Amino acid sequence: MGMVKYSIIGIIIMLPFFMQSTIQNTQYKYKERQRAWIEQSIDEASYDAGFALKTYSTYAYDSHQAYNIQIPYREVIRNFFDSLKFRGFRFSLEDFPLIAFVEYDGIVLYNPQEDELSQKTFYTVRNANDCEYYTLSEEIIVFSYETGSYERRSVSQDQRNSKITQSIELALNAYQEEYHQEQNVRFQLPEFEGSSSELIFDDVGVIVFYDPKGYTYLEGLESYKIVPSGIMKMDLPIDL
Amino acid sequence: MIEDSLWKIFGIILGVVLIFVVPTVYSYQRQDDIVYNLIMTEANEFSQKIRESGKVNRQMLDELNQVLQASGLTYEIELEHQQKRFSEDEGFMEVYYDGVYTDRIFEWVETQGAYRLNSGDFFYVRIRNTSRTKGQSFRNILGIGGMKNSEIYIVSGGIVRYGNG
Repeated sequence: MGMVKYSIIGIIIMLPFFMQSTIQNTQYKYKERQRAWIEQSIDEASYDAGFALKTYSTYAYDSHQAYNIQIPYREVIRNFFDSLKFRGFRFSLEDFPLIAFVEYDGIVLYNPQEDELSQKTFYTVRNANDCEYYTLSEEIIVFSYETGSYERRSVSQDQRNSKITQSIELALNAYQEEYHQEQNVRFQLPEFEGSSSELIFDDVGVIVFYDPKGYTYLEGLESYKIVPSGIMKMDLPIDL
Repeated sequence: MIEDSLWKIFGIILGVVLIFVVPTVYSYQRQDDIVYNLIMTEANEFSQKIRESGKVNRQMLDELNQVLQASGLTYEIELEHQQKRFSEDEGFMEVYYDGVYTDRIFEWVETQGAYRLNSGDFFYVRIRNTSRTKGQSFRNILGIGGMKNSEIYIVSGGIVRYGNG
């Protein structure tokens, strides 16, 4: 009888630990669902904003060729927030500290809290004798200070990527210092999987930065969303 | 003697709980998760199909219903179409949205065929279970786990990418 008694007592002692683990698992499951919901909502809204950018921009059909693309910033921003609103996603403007427009020749930053669009920061590199203007194409324009003349040169993809990334990071750092110096927020650019740490900017797009404070219990989360190129591609088989 | 009997009875009850009840709760929970994922995938596919084709037709609704029925639960489906409209106010064009909801969309599909959407509109589908999942029912019998009205609540949708507009 002693065996039965001690086994039961042993199980009873173990029961609270077992219950705790079950409750933690359930809580984790619901938190994960919430995280997936937040991620999916912002993802979809970003794609909707990207769709608006590509659809309503002038000459936006093929953005690689559209040197003079006119992005309708307000329309893109409105579509992003409308998409979240209709979805029933509860948010405040503080959740979105920055929306960045990656353009053909520069980057424009939008501060949702101040409702303020910045001037375009061009992808430039200033040297002692000249200034290099980079674009999303494989061509750069070099302006010579001495002669005052422009010269077009071709540039490798790697060099273009690194210079454009550098310009964007400088713009983001300046924005951080201006608006978010007191907060511990970093505007880091995404690193694409499978391409080492190289960033590839090959198309116009919109990057939405958001604050993932709702699920910071998870590690390794991104604090940004980027809409890459190719979003207009209809890859869903539709049986009309 | 009585004490020994009580220990035995208690041991049997504990054994039944650990051998039968706990695995059943886990298995039902797992089943609920599978159903949740299935419905989420279907809702995403359904909304994407509508947003990419710019229309809602009988076939799409039937396919959705078939999948929902196969899960063995009953659901409430809400469709929401936000039509993009423009108003002119002192020379400024303002965008606003007109909402068309489930009943009107279903009625249109029944009476007039495919319901059309325009590019730039918003379309959403919301699905929630109205009957209890197995996990919910079992937990209810045992009186454990805070009861939620809907274990499954999925929202899917966004901007319409292809349409008449």
